[in-house]
Amino acid sequence: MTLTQNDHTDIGTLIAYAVQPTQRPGRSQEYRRVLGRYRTESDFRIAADAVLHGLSAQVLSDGDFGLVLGVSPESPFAFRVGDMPHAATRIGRLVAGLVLVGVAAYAYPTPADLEEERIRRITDVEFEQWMRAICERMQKHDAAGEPVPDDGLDEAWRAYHEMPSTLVGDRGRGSGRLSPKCALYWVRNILGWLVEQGMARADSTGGTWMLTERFRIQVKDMASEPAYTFLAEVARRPQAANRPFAADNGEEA
Amino acid sequence: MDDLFDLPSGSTVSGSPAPAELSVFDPTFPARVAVLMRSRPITEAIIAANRQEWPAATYDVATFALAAIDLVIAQQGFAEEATYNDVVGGLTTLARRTAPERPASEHRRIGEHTVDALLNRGEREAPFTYRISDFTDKARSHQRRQVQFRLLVEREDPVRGEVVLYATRDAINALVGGLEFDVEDEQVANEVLLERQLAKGAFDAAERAAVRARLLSVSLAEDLHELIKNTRRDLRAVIQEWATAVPQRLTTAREHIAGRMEAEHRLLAKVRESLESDDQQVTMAAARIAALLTECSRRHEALHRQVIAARGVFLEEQDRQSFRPPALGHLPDISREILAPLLALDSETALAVTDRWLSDITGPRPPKLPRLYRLVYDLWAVRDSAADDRDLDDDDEAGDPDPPTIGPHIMDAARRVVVRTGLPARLSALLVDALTDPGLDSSADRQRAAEILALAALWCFAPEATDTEHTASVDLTARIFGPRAVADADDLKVDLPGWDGDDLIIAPHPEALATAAPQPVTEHPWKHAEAV
Repeated sequence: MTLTQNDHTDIGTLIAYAVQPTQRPGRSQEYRRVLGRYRTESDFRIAADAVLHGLSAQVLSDGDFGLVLGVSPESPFAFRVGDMPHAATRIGRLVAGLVLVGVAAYAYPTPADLEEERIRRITDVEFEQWMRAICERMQKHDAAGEPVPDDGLDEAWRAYHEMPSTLVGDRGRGSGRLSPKCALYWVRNILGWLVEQGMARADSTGGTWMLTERFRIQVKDMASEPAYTFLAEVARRPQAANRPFAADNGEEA
Repeated sequence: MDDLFDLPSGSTVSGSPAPAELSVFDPTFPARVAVLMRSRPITEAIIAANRQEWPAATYDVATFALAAIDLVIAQQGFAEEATYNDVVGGLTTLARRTAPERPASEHRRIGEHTVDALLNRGEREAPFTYRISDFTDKARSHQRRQVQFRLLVEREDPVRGEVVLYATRDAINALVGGLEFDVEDEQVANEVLLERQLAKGAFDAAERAAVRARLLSVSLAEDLHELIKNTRRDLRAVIQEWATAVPQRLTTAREHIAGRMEAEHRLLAKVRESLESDDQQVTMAAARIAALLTECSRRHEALHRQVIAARGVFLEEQDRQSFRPPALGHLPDISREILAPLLALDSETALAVTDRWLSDITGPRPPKLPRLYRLVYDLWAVRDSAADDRDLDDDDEAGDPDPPTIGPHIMDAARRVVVRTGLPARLSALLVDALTDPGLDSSADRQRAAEILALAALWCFAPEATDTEHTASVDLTARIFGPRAVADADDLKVDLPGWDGDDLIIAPHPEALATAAPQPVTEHPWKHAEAV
């Protein structure tokens, strides 16, 4: 079967919906229709996948929550670190990243949890303490004092550990609010950001967030494997640790 | 007594049962114990309830727990599944009836206590885990086994986008009483029971039997749903099952549906006869049972649809998955294999990982492609509507709303409203929240807080050229919504009495605006008389 112009329009419509993470097929009949075509018509699916491949994106899930896409870093759709709100400083970027990985580790404590379709709850203060406890466990290994490392060679956990849990600003515009110099600020910032990306929802009681299916799908299908591969490689060849992160890691050649 | 449990020796005491016949050594014995464990979370909830601040022995948590599971099951699989608040609300009503003299907040707390216990919120919704003993191996030595299950779980409803509650198989079985047996047989037994009861006029029992029949249908559908979900996820995991057990299961289910539909139609006819009875109690019971049976056949029809689709799903997934690159063979343990090594890396290398993780986890983000004519048009449009909206502020003429004269408690209230509602939000949502703020005493203060929010939102939407006169407004907006807040309009109007104009969307920063789709609020909670 040859695809007609209408079919290509539908592919475009489908991708337009897919790049908006807050759109849901349940709310839009048109989305349901084009998603239904993707799920049932193999020609349509192959063509849509090919277009997405050209955009350096791939379908992670075509379930009831819509077409969830994973994008490679070189895709025009890729989220860049610079797009992350309030993460301009190097320490901010690092802590934000650690919190993000930490949230996934906290929500899915075992590999089997990554397979289980269920809402995960996370309380900001509890998570902050959990993360701190992990960092403290790392500290105990070198309690006897150690040489001062060069800039950029101190371990990542120190960046988190050196921040106080909470710190409320007392001057100027930040007065009365959590300061970016404390860990809880970053936890809330990341969770709030996940809400914007459709990967979490704020609970009405405050202080608690619910991680959605979209988050689970992204962690499982996109983020874990390249990070794991990279870390495994670093562990095998410690001298090559400073090699930049290969952009095509986890992709087929 | 000790020798009763001893290993069989040569001599058997005549008259007493041989140890081999003791049920504790029977292979099915641990399963019976495991069934018993299903009720243990409820027992623990009862004990925990006694430690709460309400007087002991006031509320029957066991009844509440079963009622909660029932509430969930009644909606499960349909369009409007029960949410946490639905179930807590139902239990609150029961608690109010139990102890009308106690405060309403306590009624709600007992409802939350019960549902939280069923979800195992105390342990971050981990599965309930209990250790039991097992003596069934050949040597009859002692082994420990672990029983793990959940009763209720929270899931995302794909259509409404809400979080809903699901009863697990374990909960359904615990509720109907240890149904670790063949569902099909049990259902036949129920039908026979119901028929006999109707014949005898034992309507109460008949009704109970009908409820049990429905729960069994839900349980069967849940089973099939699980299989189809696993098939969609990864065919290889269940292909063995499809090759062996599934065809038989589908046949059984088909026969089951055919049998049930027929039986239930027959029963329904019988029940309808009873509708004409002179005894009012009998007619009422018959009407209830008729409704139940109608609901049952709806359940069977839903199950039937699943059965019809099942084979199609299998073939389709086979087609799809055979040409797909293999799924990840290995799912890493994020905590141990990623987070821990990541924290130990030097921060330069760690940044490489976290930056990549950030892109990977986000998914697509539509790039903004500006078109000049459109941009110019928008810029002008913003000016225009701002000029219109300025007429809104009648107070401008009446008095001088000099920003510094706003009381600090009003500012705090406005800030609180924003924090509570969370950005991005619709202006209408913020207004309603401000107008119903329990933290402000007088309605005049609430009105003022709402006006401040509206002003700040308008300022975000169309900032005037900053001159000395307006620095206060900039400061006000930043204090209420944050320094980078932006607002946009999408033709939706505020639908609240006393307010008009665009229902602005306020987002914490420009990037968030693109994806923001907050819901407008059109209820008028401060006007109870207008309730529909």
